[in-house]
Amino acid sequence: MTGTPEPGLPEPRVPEPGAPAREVPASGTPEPGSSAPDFTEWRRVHPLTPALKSWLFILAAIGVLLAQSQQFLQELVTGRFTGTSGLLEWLFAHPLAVLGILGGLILLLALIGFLNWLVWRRTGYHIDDEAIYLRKGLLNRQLRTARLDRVQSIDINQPLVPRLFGLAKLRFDVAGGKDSSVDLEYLGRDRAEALRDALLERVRALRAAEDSRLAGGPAGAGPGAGHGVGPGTASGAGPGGTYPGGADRPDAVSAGGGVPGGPGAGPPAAGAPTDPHLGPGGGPGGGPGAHPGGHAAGATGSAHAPGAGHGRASAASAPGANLGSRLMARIEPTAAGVIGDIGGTLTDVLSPYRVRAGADDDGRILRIPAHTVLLSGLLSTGTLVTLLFVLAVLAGFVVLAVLGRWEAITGSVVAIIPLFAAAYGIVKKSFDESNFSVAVTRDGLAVTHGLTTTTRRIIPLDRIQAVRLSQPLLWRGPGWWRAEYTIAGQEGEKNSTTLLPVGSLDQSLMMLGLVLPHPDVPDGVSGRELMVEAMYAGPAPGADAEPSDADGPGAEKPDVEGPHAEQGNAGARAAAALFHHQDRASRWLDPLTFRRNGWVRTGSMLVIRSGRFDRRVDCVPHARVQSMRMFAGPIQRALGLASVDLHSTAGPVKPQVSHQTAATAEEFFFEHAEITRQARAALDAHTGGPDVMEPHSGGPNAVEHGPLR
Amino acid sequence: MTDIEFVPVSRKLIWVHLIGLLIGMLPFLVPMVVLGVIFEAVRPWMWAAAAVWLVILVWSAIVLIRQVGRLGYAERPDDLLIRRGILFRSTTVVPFGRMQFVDVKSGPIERLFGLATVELHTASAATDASIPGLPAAEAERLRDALAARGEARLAGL
Repeated sequence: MTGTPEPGLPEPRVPEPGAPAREVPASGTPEPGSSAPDFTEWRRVHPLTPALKSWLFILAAIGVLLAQSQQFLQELVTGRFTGTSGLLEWLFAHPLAVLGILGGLILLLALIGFLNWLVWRRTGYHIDDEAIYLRKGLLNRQLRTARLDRVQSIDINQPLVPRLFGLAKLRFDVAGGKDSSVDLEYLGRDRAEALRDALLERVRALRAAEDSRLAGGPAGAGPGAGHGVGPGTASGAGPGGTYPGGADRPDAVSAGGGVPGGPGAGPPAAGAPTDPHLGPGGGPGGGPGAHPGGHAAGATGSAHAPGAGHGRASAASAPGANLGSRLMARIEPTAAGVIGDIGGTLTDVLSPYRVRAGADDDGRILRIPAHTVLLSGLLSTGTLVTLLFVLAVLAGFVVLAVLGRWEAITGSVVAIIPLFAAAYGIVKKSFDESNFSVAVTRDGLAVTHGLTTTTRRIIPLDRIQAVRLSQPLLWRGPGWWRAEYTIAGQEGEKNSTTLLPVGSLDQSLMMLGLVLPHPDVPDGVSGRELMVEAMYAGPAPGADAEPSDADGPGAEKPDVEGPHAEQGNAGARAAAALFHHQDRASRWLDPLTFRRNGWVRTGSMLVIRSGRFDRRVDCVPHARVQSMRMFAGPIQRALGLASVDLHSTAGPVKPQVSHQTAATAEEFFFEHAEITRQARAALDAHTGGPDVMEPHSGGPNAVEHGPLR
Repeated sequence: MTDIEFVPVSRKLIWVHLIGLLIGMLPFLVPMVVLGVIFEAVRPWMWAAAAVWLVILVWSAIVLIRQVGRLGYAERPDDLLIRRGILFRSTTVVPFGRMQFVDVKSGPIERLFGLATVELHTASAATDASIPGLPAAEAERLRDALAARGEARLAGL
């Protein structure tokens, strides 16, 4: 569309030096598919769009106008205003007034039409090889650019009013917060469908091209053994294909992420697993003997790591994938026969947390009885407040009754109603989370919960962004913790984010461990010691006691007893030493929490401890950090402090490294930017990216993204 | 931080902000003046309030001007840094690999000065990465550069 104030946008094509020819037909032309229509010009939406989008406003305006002039109209009709007997007579007597009114109406319509036209002229979209562009707004202009490979799904919506006109809205979902979709509104229904099909085709072509580029790309980057078996294992291990290359290629990351050499880079020395992180220490126990073990696991379809001892080593070299994915990959191939051994595999996978776990015959690894959940709901802080309020009201009633003011009682009974609402809320939540159980199934970790209506959902292991453990004040007695997660998802996807409604230390460690990557802590400290330190800022009460539940048949004993106890103490001390604390200057800002708040950066994630009465632990894997913000308000600056926010997707976890000295904060900020970059690259090399529309059947090969980075 | 060169935004942004400030604050002044002129009884109070208004205006203007001076961005190979704030200082880092979409916005006053705002969005609603006060051409260039840079795949989402 020439003649619009904005010039056509240049094609942001990225040169790809050294990349093999893409599989897209007619590469180089803006059309990936030969049959796909050309969208490279600015296209317009339906001319009625602005009016339809503001129809509510227009209607409201007319309504207000009518309501305001009601009196006038009445007077006009009854004739009091004109002094004559009726409206018609008056109108006949004054033809100019009629013209004026009519003219005014026409002018109003013309104005609306003109504005409509102006807005419509500004609204347009255009789609090229790389991205979709949408521009809108008359006064506040906006041009939105979303890369096609970021588009998660394309839907057609038909709200009521546009539907009356046969129009539809084409919505491109892009992961993001509020208002994070690219909406083409409104198009004719047929056109919307055609466009959707064409674009789906295009996005798929783009992805396929990307995949083939990844797969057929420079092969030198992968170590020979891993590369050779890679594709075979991927297709063999994952019928669902949900975790392409996640766990079954344990050597891939250390190759791809650690050696960004690109084509021609020789395989890294097998005896030295290259740790792609700057974090302290390498993989625990990743010795020359252990690494080939990982190779073997990949080659045999990773049914069981040969020798349980290698589990940790192979796990350590794949920081991107979480332990749950690894568990799934190890269980999948022999799903029929393995059920009885899930406990052993689980215990093995979770070895960094020294959790012993078992599974019953249905593969259930965790079960929280209804009464525990109800009791935990009663012990929550909200309940406490409600209870105090009830007592106060009851006391008030007693006083009033003693005074004989019965009528006052009947009047204030109303005050109880919100109490019922609060109580109902607590009970409902408890009911919903009752009978919480987690099972290992072919689809992944399946969670079932609900007392009256049973809900079953699969924990999206590959989409978990961060985890929070929390312990309200009253849960300290029973030693309970709650675990929640945030996931990346589309807006309006209001699924439960509860990982564990209530559970013991071991249970929470197990669930936490399953959804997070290998903790990758330095030598001398176990993941368990680290997490216990993060949770309790000291030894767990009754730490060395026998873990009470979460046991099933065939569970092994954790090695926290006997000769290990001494070592455990040393480990705990080492874990405590790992924590970075808030600066002393912040004791005026956080008088209660400044001693407790702290953070640790392991090789794979950031662990943040906070809260005084209600304890909290936030865990954010490096690869999942969205963006970061370092900030300091006036008081902080006066004290020489600064904080860093880690931005995660919307959810219960809002990680913040608070009140460090300005220098520490800055160092952390830039260092973490670099660490997260490397973790992302490693994860990118592992998985094929988020294919929401079309899951991978196999995984792309684990070759670094190319020489671009 | 010291070794990172931040590109400052256009100084014209000062005028955009000042005009916006004035538009925002005038409605408070009008009733003061009107009441002060009409009613003798409240006149001193109204004048005092107007003086306070003026002080706030001048102080805000000074902060605004200094803010524009500090506002800057830096394109690094893998991420974009945005620095801003005088009282509340902050530096935001947005990795290109995490970028979902880019908006280029311009309001009427901004357009009067030929400026535009570039806004980066990630999957997190908390990301507050907007760069106001870019000359239109620079905004275009940055937009294209950002769109091209989001090359890395979105693993983990």
